[in-house]
Amino acid sequence: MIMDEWIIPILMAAIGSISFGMFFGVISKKLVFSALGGALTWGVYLVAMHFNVSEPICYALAAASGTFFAEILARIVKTPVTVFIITSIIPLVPGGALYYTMLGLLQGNQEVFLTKGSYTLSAAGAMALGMFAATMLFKIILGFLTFSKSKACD
Amino acid sequence: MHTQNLNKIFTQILDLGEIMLRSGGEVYRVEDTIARLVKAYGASESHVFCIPSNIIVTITIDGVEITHSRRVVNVQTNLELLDRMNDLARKICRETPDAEEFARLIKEKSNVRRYNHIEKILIYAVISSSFAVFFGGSWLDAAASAVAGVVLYFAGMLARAIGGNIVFQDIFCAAISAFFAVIFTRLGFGHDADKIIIGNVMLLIPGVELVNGMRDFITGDIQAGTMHVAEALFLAIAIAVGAAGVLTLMGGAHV
Repeated sequence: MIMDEWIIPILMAAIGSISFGMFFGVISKKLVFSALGGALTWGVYLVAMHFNVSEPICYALAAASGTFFAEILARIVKTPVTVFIITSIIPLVPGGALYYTMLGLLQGNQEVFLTKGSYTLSAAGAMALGMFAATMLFKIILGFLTFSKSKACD
Repeated sequence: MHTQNLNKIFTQILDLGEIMLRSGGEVYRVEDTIARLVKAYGASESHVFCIPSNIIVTITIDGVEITHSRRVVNVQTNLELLDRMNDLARKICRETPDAEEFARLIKEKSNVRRYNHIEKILIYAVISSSFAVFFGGSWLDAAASAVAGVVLYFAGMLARAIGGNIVFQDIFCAAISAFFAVIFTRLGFGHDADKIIIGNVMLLIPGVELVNGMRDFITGDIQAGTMHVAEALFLAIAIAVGAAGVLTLMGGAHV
Protein backbone atom coordinates (compact mmCIF):
# COMPACT_ATOMS: atom_id res chain seq x y z
CA MET A 1 0.00 0.00 0.00
CA ILE A 2 2.58 2.52 1.19
CA MET A 3 5.01 0.91 -1.24
CA ASP A 4 2.75 1.32 -4.28
CA GLU A 5 1.36 4.76 -3.46
CA TRP A 6 4.37 6.54 -2.05
CA ILE A 7 7.73 4.82 -2.24
CA ILE A 8 7.70 3.57 -5.82
CA PRO A 9 6.41 6.80 -7.43
CA ILE A 10 8.88 8.96 -5.49
CA LEU A 11 11.72 6.57 -6.21
CA MET A 12 10.83 6.55 -9.91
CA ALA A 13 10.64 10.36 -9.95
CA ALA A 14 14.11 10.51 -8.39
CA ILE A 15 15.55 8.00 -10.87
CA GLY A 16 13.83 9.82 -13.73
CA SER A 17 15.24 13.16 -12.59
CA ILE A 18 18.78 11.90 -12.12
CA SER A 19 18.77 10.18 -15.51
CA PHE A 20 17.35 13.33 -17.10
CA GLY A 21 20.22 15.25 -15.55
CA MET A 22 22.57 12.83 -17.29
CA PHE A 23 20.50 13.06 -20.47
CA PHE A 24 21.21 16.80 -20.47
CA GLY A 25 24.92 16.24 -20.00
CA VAL A 26 25.43 16.80 -16.27
CA ILE A 27 28.35 14.66 -15.13
CA SER A 28 29.30 16.11 -11.77
CA LYS A 29 28.10 15.29 -8.25
CA LYS A 30 25.30 17.82 -8.79
CA LEU A 31 23.29 14.88 -10.14
CA VAL A 32 22.50 14.04 -6.53
CA PHE A 33 20.61 17.33 -6.23
CA SER A 34 18.65 16.49 -9.37
CA ALA A 35 17.45 13.29 -7.72
CA LEU A 36 16.56 15.18 -4.52
CA GLY A 37 14.67 17.81 -6.53
CA GLY A 38 12.63 15.23 -8.43
CA ALA A 39 11.79 13.32 -5.25
CA LEU A 40 10.85 16.54 -3.41
CA THR A 41 8.58 17.78 -6.21
CA TRP A 42 6.71 14.52 -6.54
CA GLY A 43 6.62 14.07 -2.76
CA VAL A 44 4.93 17.45 -2.36
CA TYR A 45 2.48 16.55 -5.12
CA LEU A 46 1.56 13.26 -3.44
CA VAL A 47 1.18 14.86 -0.01
CA ALA A 48 -1.07 17.56 -1.47
CA MET A 49 -3.13 14.89 -3.25
CA HIS A 50 -3.37 12.97 0.03
CA PHE A 51 -5.02 15.99 1.66
CA ASN A 52 -7.56 16.20 -1.18
CA VAL A 53 -6.19 19.44 -2.62
CA SER A 54 -7.50 20.02 -6.17
CA GLU A 55 -5.28 18.68 -8.95
CA PRO A 56 -4.06 21.98 -10.45
CA ILE A 57 -3.16 23.31 -7.01
CA CYS A 58 -1.17 20.13 -6.40
CA TYR A 59 0.79 20.82 -9.57
CA ALA A 60 1.31 24.45 -8.61
CA LEU A 61 2.50 23.59 -5.08
CA ALA A 62 4.85 20.91 -6.39
CA ALA A 63 6.30 23.19 -9.09
CA ALA A 64 6.72 25.99 -6.54
CA SER A 65 8.57 23.74 -4.10
CA GLY A 66 10.84 22.43 -6.87
CA THR A 67 11.59 25.96 -8.05
CA PHE A 68 12.27 27.23 -4.56
CA PHE A 69 14.57 24.29 -3.89
CA ALA A 70 16.44 24.99 -7.15
CA GLU A 71 16.77 28.74 -6.49
CA ILE A 72 18.23 28.18 -3.02
CA LEU A 73 20.53 25.40 -4.17
CA ALA A 74 21.75 27.46 -7.13
CA ARG A 75 22.97 30.17 -4.73
CA ILE A 76 24.65 27.68 -2.44
CA VAL A 77 26.57 25.67 -5.04
CA LYS A 78 26.93 28.60 -7.51
CA THR A 79 25.29 26.89 -10.48
CA PRO A 80 22.75 28.26 -12.99
CA VAL A 81 19.21 27.74 -11.67
CA THR A 82 18.13 26.05 -14.92
CA VAL A 83 20.31 23.05 -14.17
CA PHE A 84 18.26 22.21 -11.09
CA ILE A 85 14.83 23.49 -12.17
CA ILE A 86 14.63 21.40 -15.32
CA THR A 87 15.52 18.17 -13.55
CA SER A 88 13.26 18.91 -10.55
CA ILE A 89 10.24 19.76 -12.68
CA ILE A 90 10.51 16.85 -15.12
CA PRO A 91 8.26 14.47 -13.11
CA LEU A 92 5.49 17.09 -13.28
CA VAL A 93 5.49 17.29 -17.09
CA PRO A 94 2.12 15.76 -17.96
CA GLY A 95 3.56 13.42 -20.58
CA GLY A 96 0.85 10.81 -20.10
CA ALA A 97 -2.05 13.23 -20.38
CA LEU A 98 -0.48 14.93 -23.40
CA TYR A 99 -0.14 11.56 -25.12
CA TYR A 100 -3.78 10.60 -24.49
CA THR A 101 -4.93 14.06 -25.65
CA MET A 102 -3.24 13.71 -29.01
CA LEU A 103 -4.38 10.12 -29.36
CA GLY A 104 -7.97 11.23 -28.72
CA LEU A 105 -7.61 13.96 -31.33
CA LEU A 106 -6.24 11.70 -34.07
CA GLN A 107 -8.69 8.90 -33.37
CA GLY A 108 -11.63 11.29 -33.39
CA ASN A 109 -12.53 10.57 -29.77
CA GLN A 110 -13.92 13.96 -28.69
CA GLU A 111 -14.51 12.96 -25.09
CA VAL A 112 -10.97 11.73 -24.45
CA PHE A 113 -9.52 14.69 -26.33
CA LEU A 114 -11.47 17.26 -24.31
CA THR A 115 -11.03 15.75 -20.85
CA LYS A 116 -7.34 14.88 -21.28
CA GLY A 117 -6.69 18.12 -23.14
CA SER A 118 -8.12 20.32 -20.42
CA TYR A 119 -6.22 18.28 -17.84
CA THR A 120 -2.93 18.81 -19.72
CA LEU A 121 -3.56 22.53 -20.11
CA SER A 122 -4.52 23.08 -16.48
CA ALA A 123 -1.51 21.07 -15.31
CA ALA A 124 0.87 23.06 -17.51
CA GLY A 125 -0.72 26.37 -16.49
CA ALA A 126 -0.56 25.45 -12.82
CA MET A 127 3.08 24.49 -13.20
CA ALA A 128 3.85 27.86 -14.77
CA LEU A 129 1.96 29.60 -11.99
CA GLY A 130 3.85 27.67 -9.29
CA MET A 131 7.22 28.44 -10.88
CA PHE A 132 6.26 32.07 -11.26
CA ALA A 133 5.12 32.44 -7.66
CA ALA A 134 8.21 30.72 -6.26
CA THR A 135 10.63 32.78 -8.35
CA MET A 136 8.89 36.01 -7.40
CA LEU A 137 8.76 35.12 -3.71
CA PHE A 138 12.42 34.18 -3.79
CA LYS A 139 13.38 37.46 -5.48
CA ILE A 140 11.39 39.46 -2.95
CA ILE A 141 12.99 37.66 -0.02
CA LEU A 142 16.45 38.05 -1.56
CA GLY A 143 15.83 41.71 -2.29
CA PHE A 144 14.60 42.28 1.24
CA LEU A 145 17.65 40.55 2.73
CA THR A 146 20.16 42.51 0.67
CA PHE A 147 18.22 45.72 1.32
CA SER A 148 18.25 45.26 5.09
CA LYS A 149 21.89 44.18 5.00
CA SER A 150 22.99 47.24 3.05
CA LYS A 151 21.07 49.43 5.51
CA ALA A 152 22.84 47.71 8.38
CA CYS A 153 26.25 48.26 6.78
CA ASP A 154 25.66 51.97 6.30
CA MET B 1 43.25 49.14 -24.49
CA HIS B 2 44.33 48.66 -28.13
CA THR B 3 41.46 48.44 -30.56
CA GLN B 4 42.78 45.25 -32.14
CA ASN B 5 43.14 43.52 -28.81
CA LEU B 6 39.71 44.73 -27.79
CA ASN B 7 38.15 43.31 -30.95
CA LYS B 8 39.65 39.92 -30.13
CA ILE B 9 38.32 40.06 -26.57
CA PHE B 10 34.92 41.20 -27.81
CA THR B 11 34.74 38.23 -30.20
CA GLN B 12 35.59 35.87 -27.39
CA ILE B 13 32.97 37.35 -25.10
CA LEU B 14 30.40 36.62 -27.80
CA ASP B 15 31.82 33.12 -28.21
CA LEU B 16 31.22 32.54 -24.53
CA GLY B 17 27.69 33.91 -24.75
CA GLU B 18 26.96 31.76 -27.77
CA ILE B 19 28.10 28.59 -26.02
CA MET B 20 25.90 29.42 -23.01
CA LEU B 21 22.85 30.09 -25.18
CA ARG B 22 23.42 26.99 -27.25
CA SER B 23 23.84 24.69 -24.26
CA GLY B 24 20.54 25.71 -22.69
CA GLY B 25 21.16 29.03 -20.92
CA GLU B 26 18.23 31.38 -20.44
CA VAL B 27 18.17 34.60 -22.44
CA TYR B 28 18.44 36.88 -19.41
CA ARG B 29 21.48 34.97 -18.18
CA VAL B 30 23.30 35.37 -21.49
CA GLU B 31 22.41 39.06 -21.75
CA ASP B 32 23.50 39.69 -18.17
CA THR B 33 26.76 37.77 -18.56
CA ILE B 34 27.77 39.59 -21.75
CA ALA B 35 26.90 43.00 -20.24
CA ARG B 36 29.00 42.27 -17.16
CA LEU B 37 31.95 41.02 -19.22
CA VAL B 38 32.11 44.00 -21.58
CA LYS B 39 31.85 46.32 -18.60
CA ALA B 40 34.72 44.51 -16.89
CA TYR B 41 36.83 45.15 -20.01
CA GLY B 42 36.11 48.86 -19.93
CA ALA B 43 33.06 49.48 -22.11
CA SER B 44 31.34 52.64 -20.92
CA GLU B 45 28.02 51.57 -22.36
CA SER B 46 26.60 48.31 -23.67
CA HIS B 47 23.41 47.22 -25.38
CA VAL B 48 22.86 43.50 -25.44
CA PHE B 49 19.91 41.92 -27.18
CA CYS B 50 19.43 38.22 -27.21
CA ILE B 51 16.76 35.80 -28.39
CA PRO B 52 17.13 32.01 -28.59
CA SER B 53 18.51 32.23 -32.13
CA ASN B 54 20.49 35.47 -32.13
CA ILE B 55 22.79 37.70 -30.08
CA ILE B 56 23.48 41.36 -30.90
CA VAL B 57 25.86 43.44 -28.79
CA THR B 58 26.81 47.08 -29.24
CA ILE B 59 29.42 48.57 -26.94
CA THR B 60 30.84 52.04 -26.58
CA ILE B 61 34.52 52.24 -25.73
CA ASP B 62 36.59 55.45 -25.88
CA GLY B 63 33.70 57.13 -27.68
CA VAL B 64 33.66 54.55 -30.49
CA GLU B 65 30.72 52.21 -31.00
CA ILE B 66 31.31 48.61 -32.07
CA THR B 67 28.59 46.06 -32.88
CA HIS B 68 28.99 42.31 -33.12
CA SER B 69 26.28 39.76 -33.66
CA ARG B 70 25.85 36.01 -33.69
CA ARG B 71 23.34 33.75 -35.31
CA VAL B 72 22.79 30.82 -32.98
CA VAL B 73 21.71 27.56 -34.56
CA ASN B 74 22.11 23.94 -33.62
CA VAL B 75 20.99 24.16 -30.01
CA GLN B 76 22.28 21.18 -28.04
CA THR B 77 21.36 21.22 -24.39
CA ASN B 78 24.35 20.48 -22.21
CA LEU B 79 23.81 21.73 -18.69
CA GLU B 80 27.31 20.74 -17.61
CA LEU B 81 28.79 23.01 -20.28
CA LEU B 82 26.41 25.80 -19.25
CA ASP B 83 27.50 25.44 -15.63
CA ARG B 84 31.19 25.54 -16.60
CA MET B 85 30.76 28.59 -18.84
CA ASN B 86 28.84 30.38 -16.11
CA ASP B 87 31.71 29.73 -13.71
CA LEU B 88 34.23 30.85 -16.30
CA ALA B 89 32.35 34.11 -16.90
CA ARG B 90 32.49 34.91 -13.18
CA LYS B 91 36.22 34.18 -13.13
CA ILE B 92 36.88 36.31 -16.22
CA CYS B 93 34.88 39.19 -14.76
CA ARG B 94 37.14 39.12 -11.70
CA GLU B 95 40.49 38.61 -13.39
CA THR B 96 40.03 40.16 -16.89
CA PRO B 97 42.74 38.05 -18.59
CA ASP B 98 44.23 39.08 -21.96
CA ALA B 99 42.96 37.76 -25.30
CA GLU B 100 45.25 34.70 -25.49
CA GLU B 101 44.48 33.60 -21.96
CA PHE B 102 40.75 34.18 -22.55
CA ALA B 103 40.80 31.96 -25.65
CA ARG B 104 42.76 29.28 -23.83
CA LEU B 105 40.31 29.29 -20.90
CA ILE B 106 37.26 28.93 -23.17
CA LYS B 107 38.90 26.08 -25.03
CA GLU B 108 39.94 24.36 -21.81
CA LYS B 109 36.57 24.74 -20.07
CA SER B 110 34.42 23.78 -23.05
CA ASN B 111 36.22 20.47 -23.20
CA VAL B 112 33.80 18.67 -20.87
CA ARG B 113 33.49 14.94 -20.70
CA ARG B 114 30.46 13.78 -22.66
CA TYR B 115 28.72 10.49 -22.20
CA ASN B 116 29.76 7.86 -24.73
CA HIS B 117 27.28 5.79 -26.76
CA ILE B 118 26.98 2.94 -24.28
CA GLU B 119 26.33 5.29 -21.38
CA LYS B 120 23.77 7.20 -23.43
CA ILE B 121 21.96 3.99 -24.38
CA LEU B 122 21.77 3.09 -20.69
CA ILE B 123 20.42 6.56 -19.87
CA TYR B 124 17.72 6.18 -22.54
CA ALA B 125 16.75 2.79 -21.14
CA VAL B 126 16.60 4.03 -17.54
CA ILE B 127 14.53 7.12 -18.40
CA SER B 128 12.06 5.07 -20.46
CA SER B 129 11.59 2.37 -17.86
CA SER B 130 11.39 4.66 -14.82
CA PHE B 131 8.73 6.87 -16.42
CA ALA B 132 6.79 3.85 -17.72
CA VAL B 133 6.42 2.73 -14.09
CA PHE B 134 5.92 6.31 -12.89
CA PHE B 135 2.90 6.74 -15.17
CA GLY B 136 1.33 3.53 -13.95
CA GLY B 137 2.86 0.76 -16.06
CA SER B 138 3.87 -2.67 -14.76
CA TRP B 139 7.44 -3.88 -14.37
CA LEU B 140 7.07 -5.83 -17.60
CA ASP B 141 6.05 -2.57 -19.33
CA ALA B 142 9.18 -0.98 -17.87
CA ALA B 143 11.36 -3.69 -19.38
CA ALA B 144 9.65 -3.34 -22.76
CA SER B 145 9.97 0.45 -22.56
CA ALA B 146 13.69 0.13 -21.82
CA VAL B 147 14.19 -1.99 -24.93
CA ALA B 148 12.08 0.43 -27.00
CA GLY B 149 14.17 3.29 -25.52
CA VAL B 150 17.35 1.65 -26.84
CA VAL B 151 15.73 1.29 -30.26
CA LEU B 152 14.71 4.95 -30.01
CA TYR B 153 18.34 5.94 -29.47
CA PHE B 154 19.37 4.32 -32.75
CA ALA B 155 16.30 5.74 -34.49
CA GLY B 156 17.40 9.21 -33.36
CA MET B 157 20.91 8.62 -34.72
CA LEU B 158 19.45 7.43 -38.03
CA ALA B 159 17.10 10.44 -38.27
CA ARG B 160 20.00 12.84 -37.66
CA ALA B 161 22.14 11.01 -40.22
CA ILE B 162 19.39 11.36 -42.83
CA GLY B 163 19.58 15.05 -42.06
CA GLY B 164 16.01 15.81 -41.12
CA ASN B 165 15.21 18.74 -38.87
CA ILE B 166 14.18 18.35 -35.25
CA VAL B 167 10.46 18.08 -36.10
CA PHE B 168 11.11 15.25 -38.52
CA GLN B 169 13.37 13.56 -35.96
CA ASP B 170 10.65 13.65 -33.32
CA ILE B 171 7.93 12.34 -35.65
CA PHE B 172 10.22 9.53 -36.76
CA CYS B 173 11.35 8.59 -33.24
CA ALA B 174 7.82 8.65 -31.83
CA ALA B 175 6.58 6.51 -34.71
CA ILE B 176 9.35 3.94 -34.19
CA SER B 177 8.66 3.83 -30.47
CA ALA B 178 4.92 3.31 -30.98
CA PHE B 179 5.58 0.61 -33.58
CA PHE B 180 7.80 -1.39 -31.25
CA ALA B 181 5.49 -0.87 -28.26
CA VAL B 182 2.56 -2.37 -30.17
CA ILE B 183 4.66 -5.25 -31.54
CA PHE B 184 6.01 -6.00 -28.04
CA THR B 185 2.58 -6.08 -26.41
CA ARG B 186 1.17 -8.29 -29.17
CA LEU B 187 4.03 -10.72 -28.57
CA GLY B 188 3.22 -10.70 -24.86
CA PHE B 189 6.25 -8.61 -23.84
CA GLY B 190 4.43 -5.85 -21.95
CA HIS B 191 0.86 -5.35 -20.75
CA ASP B 192 -0.08 -1.85 -21.86
CA ALA B 193 1.36 -0.34 -25.05
CA ASP B 194 0.28 3.16 -23.94
CA LYS B 195 2.52 3.05 -20.85
CA ILE B 196 5.45 1.80 -22.89
CA ILE B 197 5.01 4.65 -25.36
CA ILE B 198 4.62 7.26 -22.61
CA GLY B 199 7.93 6.15 -21.08
CA ASN B 200 9.56 6.70 -24.46
CA VAL B 201 7.75 9.94 -25.16
CA MET B 202 9.37 11.50 -22.07
CA LEU B 203 12.71 11.23 -23.92
CA LEU B 204 11.37 13.34 -26.77
CA ILE B 205 9.36 15.89 -24.78
CA PRO B 206 10.92 19.37 -25.15
CA GLY B 207 11.39 19.88 -21.41
CA VAL B 208 14.19 22.45 -21.67
CA GLU B 209 12.28 24.58 -24.18
CA LEU B 210 9.12 24.51 -22.06
CA VAL B 211 10.79 25.31 -18.75
CA ASN B 212 13.11 27.95 -20.24
CA GLY B 213 10.15 29.46 -22.09
CA MET B 214 8.20 29.81 -18.84
CA ARG B 215 11.24 31.31 -17.15
CA ASP B 216 11.66 33.76 -20.03
CA PHE B 217 8.12 35.00 -19.41
CA ILE B 218 8.91 35.37 -15.71
CA THR B 219 11.98 37.51 -16.42
CA GLY B 220 10.01 39.59 -18.95
CA ASP B 221 11.65 38.28 -22.15
CA ILE B 222 8.34 37.84 -23.94
CA GLN B 223 9.87 37.31 -27.40
CA ALA B 224 12.21 34.60 -26.20
CA GLY B 225 9.45 33.02 -24.15
CA THR B 226 7.09 32.93 -27.11
CA MET B 227 9.76 31.35 -29.30
CA HIS B 228 10.58 28.68 -26.73
CA VAL B 229 6.97 27.80 -25.94
CA ALA B 230 5.99 27.75 -29.63
CA GLU B 231 8.89 25.40 -30.33
CA ALA B 232 7.83 23.16 -27.44
CA LEU B 233 4.27 23.10 -28.78
CA PHE B 234 5.38 22.18 -32.29
CA LEU B 235 7.58 19.37 -31.01
CA ALA B 236 4.76 18.05 -28.79
CA ILE B 237 2.48 17.95 -31.83
CA ALA B 238 5.22 16.24 -33.86
CA ILE B 239 5.60 13.54 -31.20
CA ALA B 240 1.84 13.03 -31.08
CA VAL B 241 1.57 12.81 -34.87
CA GLY B 242 4.30 10.17 -34.99
CA ALA B 243 2.97 8.01 -32.18
CA ALA B 244 -0.74 8.35 -32.85
CA GLY B 245 -0.27 7.96 -36.62
CA VAL B 246 1.42 4.58 -36.20
CA LEU B 247 -1.14 3.49 -33.61
CA THR B 248 -3.98 4.34 -35.96
CA LEU B 249 -2.32 2.47 -38.87
CA MET B 250 -1.71 -0.59 -36.70
CA GLY B 251 -5.28 -0.64 -35.49
CA GLY B 252 -4.83 0.77 -31.98
CA ALA B 253 -2.81 -0.06 -28.91
CA HIS B 254 -5.21 -2.69 -27.61
CA VAL B 255 -6.17 -5.69 -29.67
